Amino acid sequence: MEIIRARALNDYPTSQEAEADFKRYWHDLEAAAKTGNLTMTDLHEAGPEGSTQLLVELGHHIVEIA
Amino acid sequence: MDLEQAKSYRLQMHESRHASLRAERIILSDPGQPEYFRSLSLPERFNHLFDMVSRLGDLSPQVIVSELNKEFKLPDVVVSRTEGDLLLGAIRLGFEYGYGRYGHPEFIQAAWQADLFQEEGMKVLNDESTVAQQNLDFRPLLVDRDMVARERIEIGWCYPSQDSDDSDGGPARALNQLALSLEIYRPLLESEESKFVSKRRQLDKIGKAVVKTLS
Repeated sequence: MEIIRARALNDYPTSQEAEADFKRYWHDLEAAAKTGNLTMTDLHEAGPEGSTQLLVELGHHIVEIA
Repeated sequence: MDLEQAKSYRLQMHESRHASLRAERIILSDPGQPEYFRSLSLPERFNHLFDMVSRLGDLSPQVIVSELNKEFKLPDVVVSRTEGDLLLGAIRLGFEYGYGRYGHPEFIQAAWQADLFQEEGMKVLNDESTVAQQNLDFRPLLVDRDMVARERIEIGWCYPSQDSDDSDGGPARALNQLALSLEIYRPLLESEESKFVSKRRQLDKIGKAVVKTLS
């Protein structure tokens, strides 16, 4: 998560905008994980804490896939 | 190649391999192969996920399994892999992808601690064809402690496979050096060395006594 947050802070002039972008990006990542459509880069950038959360989403996808 | 060049080479090699790996998509519902994934059983699907994520090397296999186990009751066949196949699979993949800075040392260390390395891990490493096929290059991992490794090997101590190929470039030698570079069995070596020193002191004493008697 730190990588994603740091990138947002670098890309946006204010911390509020950066935080909003981070939340949007994270929401997209969670949605991608729910459909099993994630890249290794996504997982790496999510860091240990974030990638663990994404793994759980991927796990749900695995169980649910018909 | 001096030490700084070797360090730089090591960094470049791992960065480039890791970068190419990171670009891979975790194919769980690959549009090109949806039928294939659907045809897998649940344990096979989880194994697929573990293998993919293990390759990234950011999370250890144990963490992956324990985190998922909190949420899902994993099939026994998957959980059992954490103790054996999963670690060894990770080691193989670690070698394949040259994870010096990421998963590779951790996997080896974890396997070592789980007493897996000596039996199964050695089979992997002692298999010349595997070593050749995967074009393993231990040199970048060895540089920092190469001198130490050489010193240790010169005192004739080879672990754990005393009778395996210890010639230059042989997997046993590479393994020894690798393990040394990872500080995996330094305590064992030190204990062995202290025995060696103690024996030498005893011999010195005997020698002095003999010389004294003769003179």
